[in-house]
Amino acid sequence: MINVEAMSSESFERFSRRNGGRVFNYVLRMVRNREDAEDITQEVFLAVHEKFGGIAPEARDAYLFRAAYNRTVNFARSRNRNPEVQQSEFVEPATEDPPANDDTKNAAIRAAMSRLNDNERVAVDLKYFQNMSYGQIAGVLDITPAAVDSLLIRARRKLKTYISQETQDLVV
Amino acid sequence: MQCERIEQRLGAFLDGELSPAEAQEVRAHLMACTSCQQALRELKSLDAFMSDYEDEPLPPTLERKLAAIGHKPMRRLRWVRDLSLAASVAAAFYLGIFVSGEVADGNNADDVFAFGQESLYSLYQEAGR
Repeated sequence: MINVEAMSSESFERFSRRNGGRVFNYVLRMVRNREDAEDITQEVFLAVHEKFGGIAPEARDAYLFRAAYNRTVNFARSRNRNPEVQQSEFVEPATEDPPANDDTKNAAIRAAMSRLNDNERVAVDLKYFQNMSYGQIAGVLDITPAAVDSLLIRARRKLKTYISQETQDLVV
Repeated sequence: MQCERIEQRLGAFLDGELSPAEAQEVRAHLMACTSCQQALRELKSLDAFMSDYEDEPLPPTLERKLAAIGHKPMRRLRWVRDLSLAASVAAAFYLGIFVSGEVADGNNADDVFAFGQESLYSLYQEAGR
């Protein structure tokens, strides 16, 4: 007899193996604190696991990043209730952990992204690091693909300037 | 004015997000406009720079925690399992009534109830394995 529960469990394991690193790095770029990123990543997968069987396979990636987006926003909001917290929702420069594999390019990219506004930062992350289409990004941010287009136009313009300021490696 | 409009479309052009007609319009403009060609080169440089970003490896402790989540029963499946169990119990109970009615050749309510209880007990044992 086919053990449906075991099959779904294996499927979720494959799903979490494929996406664990993606989500962890996404959250880490947003909250910039490794311990918080680990906790949030675990919460995200717990939440997705609860609904996993009911989510169409083709919609799972978007659902996963929607959950990650919601949790990082909630985390930032709760953190911002602290009066000592900084101006941006996501960035916490004072407590930023140095990444394990830091290098000049990574550092320049993170620094440049930290200067974008929240939606621009998420759109850039989903486009460059998660290879999502404008339609998928729109689903995560709950906006239209045209709004994603506008966000990315502005974000790319800013990134070009910020990265040039951070490093001279960007040959233009 | 035309360059400004085309420049706005270059990102979506590189991302493959334009319609065939829009993409053709951008290509045609690029053939004749050195300023927009330069803007496209800059955008490609930015994309290449961003693509060099190296993700951090997943911390082993987190990897283990995520793997453990996969072994938990899922809510939906638990619900389906519980419903199946309830349906089986009900079926067994009614079957018990039917069989007891046949075997006992009468309407001994105690026998019927005892058979139903036995069936229910064995099903719960089965489900608990």
